[in-house]
Amino acid sequence: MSIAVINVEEIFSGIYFIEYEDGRKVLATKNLTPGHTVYDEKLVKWKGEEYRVWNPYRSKLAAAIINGLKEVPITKGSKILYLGIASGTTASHISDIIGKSGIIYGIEFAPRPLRDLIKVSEIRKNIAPLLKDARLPHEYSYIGETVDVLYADLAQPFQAEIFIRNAKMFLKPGGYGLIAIKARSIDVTRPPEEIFEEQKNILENEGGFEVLEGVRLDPYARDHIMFRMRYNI
Amino acid sequence: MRMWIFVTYPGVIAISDGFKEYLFKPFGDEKPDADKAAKALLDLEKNKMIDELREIVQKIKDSTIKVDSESFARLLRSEFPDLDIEIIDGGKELLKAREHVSRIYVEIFGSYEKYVEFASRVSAEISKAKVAEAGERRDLMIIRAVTISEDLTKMINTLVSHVREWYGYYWPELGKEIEDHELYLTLVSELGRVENFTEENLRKYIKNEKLIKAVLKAKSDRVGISITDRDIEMIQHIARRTLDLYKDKERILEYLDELMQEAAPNIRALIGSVIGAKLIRKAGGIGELAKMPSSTIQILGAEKALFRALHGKGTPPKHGIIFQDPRIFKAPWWQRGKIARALAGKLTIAARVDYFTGEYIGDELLRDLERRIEEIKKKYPKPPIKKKEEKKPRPPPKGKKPHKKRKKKGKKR
Ligand SMILES: C[S@@+](CC[C@H](N)C(=O)[O-])C[C@H]1O[C@@H](n2cnc3c(N)ncnc32)[C@H](O)[C@@H]1O
Repeated sequence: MSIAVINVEEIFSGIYFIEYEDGRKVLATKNLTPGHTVYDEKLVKWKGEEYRVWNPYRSKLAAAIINGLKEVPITKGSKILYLGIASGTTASHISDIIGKSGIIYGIEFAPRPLRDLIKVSEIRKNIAPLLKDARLPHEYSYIGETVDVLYADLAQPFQAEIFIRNAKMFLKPGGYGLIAIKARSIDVTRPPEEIFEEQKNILENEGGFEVLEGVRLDPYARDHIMFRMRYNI
Repeated sequence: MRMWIFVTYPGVIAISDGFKEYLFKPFGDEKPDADKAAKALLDLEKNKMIDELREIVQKIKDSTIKVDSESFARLLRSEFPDLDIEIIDGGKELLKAREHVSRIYVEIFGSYEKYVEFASRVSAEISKAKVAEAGERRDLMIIRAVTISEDLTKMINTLVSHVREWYGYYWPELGKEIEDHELYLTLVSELGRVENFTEENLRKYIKNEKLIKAVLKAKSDRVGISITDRDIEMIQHIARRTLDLYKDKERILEYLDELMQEAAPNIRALIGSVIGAKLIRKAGGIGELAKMPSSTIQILGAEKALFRALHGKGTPPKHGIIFQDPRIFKAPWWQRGKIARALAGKLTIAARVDYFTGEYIGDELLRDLERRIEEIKKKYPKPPIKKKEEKKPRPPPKGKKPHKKRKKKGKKR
């Protein structure tokens, strides 16, 4: 902690670049629950505010932002449906961004990561943890409302199909989709570019999404892409 | 009129088609109550009808009711068979209706923020009820459960053959007609003496008409000895106890499956709870399994054959416990070793992820495995032509490191 912070700049709503004396820049969000960390992220104080450093090796959304995502459809008050939320590493930063007037419905199929997420949700009261299989969205129909953003990071072979099914049930027309795709989850034998193109076609032709951009996540996550999409139905 | 029904965190909402009117019945008196909401939603997940839903449906049962899933429609029909239900499981129409639900949340709570806090709390309650409390060394429970289930199977088999022979003195023909053990035990324990095997009584337990006919025929053919009421009473008692053991076995298998879902979701996805548990038992725990190279996992449980091979008798084993998986034992013999190796490779990854993070990658592993098996089937459709010289005995290795050799082999892929 010896190197001093010299500037904090808001690059998207609720998302910051912290600049250190030595020229290093790191991504961060403003801590919704000052004093608490969620994983082993660093806390940084600047002008009376506390920031949580957002590690692109731990979070694909952070990697996409650092690699030049043009817009982040998540802002204060956003309602999010998150498929594959795990223990909430990325979700905790989204929770910082949306604040208390937004909500994350977090779907996770594996009990152990979900148990950690429940603990996180007790402090971050804008996360609703759900032990559910994202392939069966009607089982969490009791979310009731639509969401503004559908986010998925499932590492599943049929992730695009699962994404589309969830959108049909919960995503507001005109809302946004963010999906992290790992090439080898789809197919180990074909080149990533080909797989990404194919997934894009599925999302556009079968899902009613318009892919606004695709950002590669290398070197933070190898052979991954994140698509930002608008739901045009 | 047409009405949407949504069960939500705060309660049951019905919205008219034009979104002008809505009905709301909270979980709780007057205001939504988090504990009551969690309880109601947990009941709903088990497909149980809940009072709040019943009340809302009562009020609008003359309307066409729109719901978003087949399973929800089924639940409504179970209590209101005459209801006119339309299922719309996705798309613009559903999404439009859901958008109005957000607005209703604000009206119910006074602000969206208050809804958020409520929903998060209820959701956490529900999840907590479903995630077992954190326990230590779940693998010890897994090992115990799978071993008990095996012992129960043995006990059941012993008792079943006793009951079959015992009742068989009295009515040998019945045993020939009824092959299913549980059905046999049920008939004997419920009906007892042959005269109770009437067509009407049999219908209660057997759906298959042909089988009923056959049993009635066996009744008229009966040639067994006569036995006393005391004999029958004891046979029925033991048959009943054996049926209880079947239930016990089912319960312990359910428990095992829960344990596997929690502690080894990826192994479970790849090879099922029971075989997965046997692998964990043989390894001595999930941590131990996670540390093994895949060549060891592949032959886990075939130590005797390996030992023999190392002493120059027979060929080294290609599979151990995993041979119980039908993808291997149903495959033609020349493909088995290759499939076993592919499966063991995926199991190694599964065990590691299960041990370290518990995240679910089972579908990906399963898909990769299925592809690999397809490949093997395509590549080796015919049995290889055996070369005589291959049969020469291996020199017995020196020292006590039986795994060394296998390790190299396993790394090829
Ligand atoms: C790559 S991890 C997600 C990491 C997380 N997004 C983060 O950045 O903090 C993928 C998660 O999806 C979960 N998952 C996989 N298949 C799922 C399914 N069908 N339904 C729900 N969750 C699933 C896994 O258990 C795992 O926790």
